[in-house]
Amino acid sequence: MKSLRVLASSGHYKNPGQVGQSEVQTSAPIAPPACVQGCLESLVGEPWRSFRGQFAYGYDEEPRGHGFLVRQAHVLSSSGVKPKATGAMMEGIRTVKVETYFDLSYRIAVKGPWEQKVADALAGNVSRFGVLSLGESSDVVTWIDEAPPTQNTRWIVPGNRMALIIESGRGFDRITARYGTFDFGPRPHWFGEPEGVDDDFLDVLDLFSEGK
Amino acid sequence: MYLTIGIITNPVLANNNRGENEGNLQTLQKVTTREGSKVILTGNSIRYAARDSMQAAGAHLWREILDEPEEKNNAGYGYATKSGKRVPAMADAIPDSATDYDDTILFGYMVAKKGNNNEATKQRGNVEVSNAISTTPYSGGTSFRQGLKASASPNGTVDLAPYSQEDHFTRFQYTVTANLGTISKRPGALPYFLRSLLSLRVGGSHAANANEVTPAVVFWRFHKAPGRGGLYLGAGLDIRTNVPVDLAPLAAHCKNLGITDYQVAGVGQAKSVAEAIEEMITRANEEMARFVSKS
Repeated sequence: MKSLRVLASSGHYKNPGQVGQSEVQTSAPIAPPACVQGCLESLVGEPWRSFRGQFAYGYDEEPRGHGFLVRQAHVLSSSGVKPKATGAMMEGIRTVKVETYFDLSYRIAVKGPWEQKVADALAGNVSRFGVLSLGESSDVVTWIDEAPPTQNTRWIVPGNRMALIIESGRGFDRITARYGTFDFGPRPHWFGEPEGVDDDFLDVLDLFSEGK
Repeated sequence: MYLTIGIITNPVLANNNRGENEGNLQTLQKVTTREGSKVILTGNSIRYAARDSMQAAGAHLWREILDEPEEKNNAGYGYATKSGKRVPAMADAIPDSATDYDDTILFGYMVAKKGNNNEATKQRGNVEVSNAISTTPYSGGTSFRQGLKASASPNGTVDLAPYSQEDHFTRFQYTVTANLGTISKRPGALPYFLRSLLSLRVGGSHAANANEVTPAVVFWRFHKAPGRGGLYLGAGLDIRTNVPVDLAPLAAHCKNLGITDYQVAGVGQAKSVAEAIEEMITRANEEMARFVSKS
């Protein structure tokens, strides 16, 4: 197993749906499983939805900051983005307030065939595009290294506190999202293959004693 | 190969990166942290300022800020077409490739118009700029301004329009990360961007609120692995404006992460920021050339 400490400068995990002019574009309180999976795929330079194996994740610490950043959102429309003849507003652009967390400290654990890919990435031996992010592209991962899990890690586990996207899929004509409901817990829940691992909890104390 | 740069700025009077107005109070963008309310300069606004500087320096940009009204849209932008003509709507000037322009290879682009795959036409950027966070908490300072209404009232007089704006005199800290491997497809773009960091007019800087964000201290490192820049110091950084920049937090932060290969330049250091930027450009060009020769 690879246990990763992942630090990010900021995080916005958009709840899907349109946001009107001057409204708040809310964020999930933690990166959803789909987002973490995407980060792992980007880390190792592999395509979207190519991850194989299992991963678990949570917060080592609560985010250090929280705020709402004003942004001009370009709204996708079939007619494109055209300026209006008069007036200050451009058609297709809305001012929205983006809910953002700051100074995030994640724990991400990986088991299975991708452990070696992760090791290769941390050694700088993968070819990939862009800068590593967790969230939007501007939510840059500022540090990632291998470190043992801590007793303080609050792992994402099945529960009823929050709904998070577990899979982004392609519907008939658009990208859709499938949700699960989750909570924070003291021991990790493993996402991914093989099927039926939802009850396979790992005792964190064993990680310390056995040096996994 | 990646280049990560950490920047702590000279003190600047932050009154331009505004949030939404509250009545006739122009507010600053802020974030709530454990250390209090901190002012933000968004990464978007820093990138906008960098693009503005790059344009002035002669970079070949897809999106430019223009004066000619027939070429620009209401936000002041004009987009380059293949013929060289500028048009106001980005949907009429979709690049063939991100390597066509200096800004698209660095910052990426997205045209909010559905293409053949029924998706927006887009390309991810290869340079990311973090939000800049003030190194001191916002203490509530405001200043009073007097404006004039644009139209006369029915009796023919033009009324005053008083307003207030939030001000915060502070340093900021932020980081920049660049993927040199992918930028190597258009290596001439990066020097324009790095030199722009020497002085950025962030957040509007119109005549009544002109200020420039300049680096007091920069620290940087080249690293092979993604996500291992390690130079973002966090929202809890506390560096006052009336004293030289204390580098002890940087040293402690890097020691905690096991980073030993960072370099420092700026006020009180052996190397100036300008010298450091040129040194980064030289090394980045070497790394990009090495990447091209390998592939």
